[in-house]
Amino acid sequence: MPVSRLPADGPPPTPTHPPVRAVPPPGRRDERAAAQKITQLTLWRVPLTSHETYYMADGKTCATVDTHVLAVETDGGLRGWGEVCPIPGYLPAYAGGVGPVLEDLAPVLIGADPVGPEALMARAEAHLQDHRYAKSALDIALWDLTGQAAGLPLYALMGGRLAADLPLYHSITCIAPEEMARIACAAQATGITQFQAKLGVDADWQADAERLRAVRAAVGEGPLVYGDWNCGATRLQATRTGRAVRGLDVMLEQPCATLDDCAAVRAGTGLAMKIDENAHDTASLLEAHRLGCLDAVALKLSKFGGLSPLRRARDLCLHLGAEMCIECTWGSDIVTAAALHLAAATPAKAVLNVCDLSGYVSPRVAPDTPVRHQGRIAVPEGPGLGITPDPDRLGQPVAIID
Amino acid sequence: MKITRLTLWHRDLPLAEPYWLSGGRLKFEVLDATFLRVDTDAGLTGWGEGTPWGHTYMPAHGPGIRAGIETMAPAILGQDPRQPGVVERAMDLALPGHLYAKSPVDMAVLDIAGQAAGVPISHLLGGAFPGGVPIASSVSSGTPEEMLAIIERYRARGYRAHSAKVGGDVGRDIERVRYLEANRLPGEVIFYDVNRAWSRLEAISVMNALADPVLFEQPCETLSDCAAVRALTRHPISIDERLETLADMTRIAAEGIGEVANIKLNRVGGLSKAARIRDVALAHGIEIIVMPTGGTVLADTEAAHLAQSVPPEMRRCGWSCQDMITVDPAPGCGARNVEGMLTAPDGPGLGVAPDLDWLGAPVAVYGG
Repeated sequence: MPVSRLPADGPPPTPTHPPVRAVPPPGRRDERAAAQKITQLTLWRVPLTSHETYYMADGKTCATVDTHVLAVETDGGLRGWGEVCPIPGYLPAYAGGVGPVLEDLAPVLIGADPVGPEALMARAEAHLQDHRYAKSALDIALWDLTGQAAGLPLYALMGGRLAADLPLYHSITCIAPEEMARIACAAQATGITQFQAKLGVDADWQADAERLRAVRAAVGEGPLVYGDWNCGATRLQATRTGRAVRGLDVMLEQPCATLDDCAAVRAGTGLAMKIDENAHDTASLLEAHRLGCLDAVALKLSKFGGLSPLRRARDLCLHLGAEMCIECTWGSDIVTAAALHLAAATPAKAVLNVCDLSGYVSPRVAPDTPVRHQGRIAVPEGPGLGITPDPDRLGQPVAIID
Repeated sequence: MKITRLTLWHRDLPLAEPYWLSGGRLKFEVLDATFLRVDTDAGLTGWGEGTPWGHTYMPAHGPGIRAGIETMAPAILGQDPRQPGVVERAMDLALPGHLYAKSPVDMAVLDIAGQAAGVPISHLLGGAFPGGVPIASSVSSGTPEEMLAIIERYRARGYRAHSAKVGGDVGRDIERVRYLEANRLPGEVIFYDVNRAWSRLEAISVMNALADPVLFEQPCETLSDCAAVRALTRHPISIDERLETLADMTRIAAEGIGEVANIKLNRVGGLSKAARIRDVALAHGIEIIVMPTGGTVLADTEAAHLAQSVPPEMRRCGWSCQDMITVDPAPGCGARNVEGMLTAPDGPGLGVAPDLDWLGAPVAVYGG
């Protein structure tokens, strides 16, 4: 298998990828869509540094986290982009697993037609099961290529644009209650109306209740406030916190490690529940719904394996009546843009919010990706993802597969 | 005692003959094996092996084992291998999931812990019950006559248990089971391994066509599928691929989905996690099969230690993957087929180590 791994200190690669995304002329779609074959995959590992270090329960942090950026090229001259950025220790996903999975899939991918991603992803699944986080980057890149070949933005392929822009939430790192209230006020001044307060860093249920009270009071009546433990609490401690604030308008998110636990906390506190880590495929969504704890859900690209399974999850959540946060676990412009396309093609009342992940970190990998404006973010225009990643910002590739 | 170094080798293990699963859906010719040596500051050394059954069978692949160990290495180095639960917890925090990458580490750590205590791994798992475990052959899918011919070759090597791979066309599967049952010898055990290939409807169609109960393994894809089939059939069911975690085992036990649990060590994340699954199965009267996912005599010996810790009346069968490959890293050592039975070595630790010349050059070294 012709796989070349470049040493970290090796010679710089020949810059063959000008950051250009030509808008194809109208009326020649058949010709453009014909006979694309994948010729090469290029993978970069790019450290993303948070503007403000982000603390979650159980010692999980986002200070500097490596994202993987993937370019898939075709013999028709198209280049599709994908991305995945696993947060260490957060989910069964890690940066070191991405390269080996894509190298393992090389015999399936090289020479294959990327247009119509689910057909090729099914072959990839037969070759190597699961490892969905690594496949997420691939699936996004195939959708980007499909959109470019069709001359259509991804929101059109996902069903059509139902919103021009989408509401953002702001995630508040778990620190002292008054500091979190300050961050909430600063975000509110920029137009944000939804606030996620991280909880559980000090394993102190009263401190967590105080965090929710402080943020709730700081932003006044109306905006959405929810507290997220990222699985870090026990049933007992989460229930104590929830009961302490049950008179307030707050929602709880993924307090404990299992759906049974989260359902017990919802029942014990009477507060609405958002599920994140435990929702990662059709079966887990159905189980959360059966347990009655799926008021809201985080649909993240890397948890499900890209736009293809996330689109199916979106359809199921519409049926189940769960409000959706459509985003990724972490990352920069590529995952931000991919999630925006799916969210824009989803009925607005079912979209809880989206996330401008690329606004939390630097460097930006595609500077033309829309940014936060008055608490909302626009969906990119143009074929495919509609953004232009800049290879000059990515450093040297870690692998070229051809 | 502290872990000072992790050394990884990669070797391909050729299968003696091509192997077909699920009625011919999947073909296997070579297995990607990872060998791990764990060194300590006390001079003790432990060995682990991770060999998934190819990369199409389960969500596991050789390069993923090596990448996973690289990511976990900082959390493993410096740990005391006489405290396997502490090492296990460190791995789970460093890398959630990816059980198949953790199993070789757990194996090597228990090898050292056993050597330090002067007892075989089976003793650390609770103790060695008497007798061996019957080895089940692995009978590749084919025509009824081809499958019986394979069984006869295994009979000549002493095998009295056979895992016959079915899971293609409903009519052909009924024919396969009827033919093999008609040719089963007295005292012989044959179970029919579907490897998830049937839909619920196909499973019920085959099972309802067969009057006398036989054991079917993993008839359908999910536990929910198997539970639905369980409700409509009198045939006993063994759960294999969908037994990955302790939570799966508790669900199988609580909902009565299976009467047999097939614990595959690389899939469940190693001996420490497997021992807990064993305990839940035993507490609910569920019989136990212990197998490697694949590999050499090292992986077979690891499985033999766990099987040895299962009371004989609950020890359904095991497997000897070494009999299906053309290479042997430790000739004459470890758990070997003796008249169709496998018995764990009674020396300290794992009781077998690979030949360094056979391993060749390592692919990675972490630590000093």
